[in-house]
Amino acid sequence: MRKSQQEAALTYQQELEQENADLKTALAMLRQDQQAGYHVQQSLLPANPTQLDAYRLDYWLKPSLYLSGDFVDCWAQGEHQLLFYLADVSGHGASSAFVTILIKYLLGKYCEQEDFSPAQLCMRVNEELLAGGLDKHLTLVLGCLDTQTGNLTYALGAHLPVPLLIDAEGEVKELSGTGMPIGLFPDAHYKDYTCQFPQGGRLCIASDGILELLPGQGLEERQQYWHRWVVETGGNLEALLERLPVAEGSWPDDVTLMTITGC
Amino acid sequence: MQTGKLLAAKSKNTYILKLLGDVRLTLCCTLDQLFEQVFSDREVESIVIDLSQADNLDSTTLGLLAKIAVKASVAGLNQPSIISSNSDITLLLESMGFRQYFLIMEQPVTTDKALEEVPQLAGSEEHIRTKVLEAHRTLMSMNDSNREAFKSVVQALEECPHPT
Repeated sequence: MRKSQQEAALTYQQELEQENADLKTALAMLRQDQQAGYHVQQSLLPANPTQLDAYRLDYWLKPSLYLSGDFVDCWAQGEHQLLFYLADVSGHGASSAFVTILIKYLLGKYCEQEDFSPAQLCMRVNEELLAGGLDKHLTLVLGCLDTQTGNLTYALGAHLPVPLLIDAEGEVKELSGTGMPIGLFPDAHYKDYTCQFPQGGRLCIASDGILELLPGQGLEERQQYWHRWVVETGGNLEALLERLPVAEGSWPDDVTLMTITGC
Repeated sequence: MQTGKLLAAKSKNTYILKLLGDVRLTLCCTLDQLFEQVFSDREVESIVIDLSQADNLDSTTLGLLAKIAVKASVAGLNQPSIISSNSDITLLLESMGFRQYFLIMEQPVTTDKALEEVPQLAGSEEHIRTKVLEAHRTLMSMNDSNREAFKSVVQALEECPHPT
């Protein structure tokens, strides 16, 4: 190799090394940025567990990367009403996480103003999202549990897998009802459903990210697995988590589990 | 599972969008442009979405399909059709309430020859109108609240002039 070639190769190598170092710095900055976002989003989540009278709400939320398009929240509405929801915003990552914060804000604001039923809340969020033109939609389970009477009123926004209700004997049944996704169709209607929370029972809700971690092929079979797992674990959050595959790197989607247990 | 792919074609007055494989859309800018094109094209009267060779649709894609239905309705086009022979995908579409906005059909379209026949399948306004009327009548007969909810739709459809 001639001297000029050697020099050229050396310069090239130095340039590459410099670019590599720059990329690493940029990546570290982006990661820090995401981590800062992660901490903000985490701090917006409710206390885990949250207890109101004889009911306890537990949840587990794992973002696909740092920021989550899944979100849960709950608060005491009046003295003996536990309002809760699990939202799954389309996509994942930062853009979806922004929408989860908007939803939290909107629902909080609506509930401060007046006593809205779950279906009315769904309708208002639907209108607001469409008006915002964000091109993001979500599936939602939104419920209000009267902790004195055990009366549960809820609305469903196209959420999968279907939430499951377990009674004290361990019998599992699906929460009945249907509803449109939120933020897709301008004329979507929502309905309030009611049922009695079984004494000593448990409500199990998961985001659809769980379906990608379950065995089986296809939506139907995976939903059956979800049902089976809940039967076998009694919907116990810890026991359900033990069955999930150990996370290696990032998951294809955000995964959230939420249970409400009557004591 | 095959990586997702999206094919588009126009045949006579029908715009055909075919989704294949595991469709996960993270960026929709190019599709937005495509939509602009479709909805500003005065020749397009109906839209057919072929999902017969799709394995999976992510939520963003579902959002996109819904947007087509809303835009088509605003533009006064025929109700868009979806061809879905995969029962899993049909289940997903139904859980999202898509049956209300799309004519969901089972027939798969796999050959070029069949593709040409699609406009006849879904392009006939009369055919769609009858189908929709039928569906709404069925819904109406199911319970009282449905009867109230769909009365105006059925009325509108019945009053709608038949295409000559």
